[in-house]
Amino acid sequence: MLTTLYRPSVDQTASPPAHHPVVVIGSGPVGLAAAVDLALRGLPVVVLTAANGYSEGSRALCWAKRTLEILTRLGVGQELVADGVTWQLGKVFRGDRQVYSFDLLPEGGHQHPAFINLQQYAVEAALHRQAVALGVDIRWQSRVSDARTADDGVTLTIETPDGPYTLHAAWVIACDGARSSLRRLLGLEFQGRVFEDRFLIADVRMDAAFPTERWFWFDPPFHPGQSALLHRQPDNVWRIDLQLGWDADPEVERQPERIKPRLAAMLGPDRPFELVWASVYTFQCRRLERFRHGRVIFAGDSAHQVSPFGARGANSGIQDTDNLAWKLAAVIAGAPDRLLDSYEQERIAAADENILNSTRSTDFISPKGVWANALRNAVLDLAADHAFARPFVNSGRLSLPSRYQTSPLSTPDEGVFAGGPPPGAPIPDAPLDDGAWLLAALGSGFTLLAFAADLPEVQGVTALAVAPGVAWARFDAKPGTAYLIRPDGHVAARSRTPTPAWVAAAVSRAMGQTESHHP
Amino acid sequence: MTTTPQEDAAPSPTPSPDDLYAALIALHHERSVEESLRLNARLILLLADAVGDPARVLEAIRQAGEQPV
Repeated sequence: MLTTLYRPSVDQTASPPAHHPVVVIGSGPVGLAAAVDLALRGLPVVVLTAANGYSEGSRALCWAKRTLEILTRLGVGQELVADGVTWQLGKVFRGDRQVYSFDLLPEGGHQHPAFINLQQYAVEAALHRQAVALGVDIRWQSRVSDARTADDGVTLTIETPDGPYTLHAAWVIACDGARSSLRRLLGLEFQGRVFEDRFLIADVRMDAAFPTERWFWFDPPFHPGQSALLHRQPDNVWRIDLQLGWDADPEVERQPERIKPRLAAMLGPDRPFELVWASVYTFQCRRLERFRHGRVIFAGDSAHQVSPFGARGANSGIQDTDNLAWKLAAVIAGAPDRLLDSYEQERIAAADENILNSTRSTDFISPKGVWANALRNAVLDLAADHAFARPFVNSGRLSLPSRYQTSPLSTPDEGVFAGGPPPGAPIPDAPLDDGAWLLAALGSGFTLLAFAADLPEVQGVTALAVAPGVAWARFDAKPGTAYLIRPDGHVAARSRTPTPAWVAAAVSRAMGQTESHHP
Repeated sequence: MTTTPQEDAAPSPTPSPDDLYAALIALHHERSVEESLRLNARLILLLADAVGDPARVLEAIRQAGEQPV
């Protein structure tokens, strides 16, 4: 990049060092989502990033419904859905024969689609604009080179084109990616499983009439013995992933003269295409043992890494910040510190779920050993003609939000529920009778959904009366039912016989004010 | 060959354990080890479907792994 985004900050000449309540490290989608969320909650935020602009290539391409719901709450979801390519169908081929298909959102009545495909830099750009509009202080080319932690905050040393300076942050959110500097500066181990396989990822511009679906091949005729994945992006650009195997030489495979014949074999001799961006990657599934280290909190790839099958990387990172932002704002405003420990409890469980799913997908796509290979091929042999075998086909289990089943913030059910989201789970969206959407109608704090339940006002809780309709079925509602919803849209508590005392106790528990045991 | 409905409904003789054993051997006749693994994998999946209860299949997997090999 020829231009520099770096601008000197007054902090660079401050003596003593400037103090900031929250510093976010990293300007990827996770860091910017954290910054926007905290700014919306009224906190002044500084973002430090070693980068000098947005990321290159499509990178995190597939944005899941839950993430889009969060991005809409942050004020950018609607423009991203408009700019992105909407999809919900996946097809899996073995050779040239379809063996499996899936529909990620078979029902209507949701504001957001199952998925959009949109290049990571476009999401970063939208979040960046929103962050700037909210007054976030974004400092480019500002690499953190030292971090001294103390009980009341962190002293950071920052390298800039004008030399180093220090500042003090009461809280640091480390969203600085898989190669996190903060993780290294704190000397934290990041262990897990390395997968012995390599993949070519290419963004290709071409005119093509393939439908807007996720297509995955095992052993396709154009790339025998390996797998392939095709995704549509906006602007006639397509994402192609080709499995290369562990023996492939990444330096050789990165060369355009090597890549182009592989793509031509897939796309056919008569389809001109332009190679926009390509990379050869390998991957790991791993996480930090703890996500919170005193005043330093890790979110996104700095805390956990998964294989790309299932789009569980950036999606889970933004879901981290969705969980963290309201808690950090509450703790800064005086809520008990242990509320932040629940971030770690809930999001470690989510990370383990993502790692489990993406590991299983990888074991299917890239089986290791003769038996794993035989079993995988047997599934594919049977899937074409036997319906029972199709659900075994695993080309990636696509990102779904975690349901926080053991959350310390949840209150056990009062009364019997046969359906609806249990405590800890994210609530489903639903159309309201005035043309609005349920998720969009939630307050920025706690919301009490009242289904023909007559409740007096509870201080600090937004009451929302839900008229009979789709939402009633999705919440297993009966007259008198109430759900208490957390600021991140997850259920804190639900009751068939709600009272103001029940609401107050559930809010208290969800704010970490009550010592609680796992429900 | 044409059959009458009565002949269709007639119970076929229950295969004996020796019949089953012979069929399992025959399935792998002149197969490489790799081919046999794949055939067995198909067979396991088909049998798991026939059992119909994943918990019973998991129990069988546990039992299979119980003895030293």
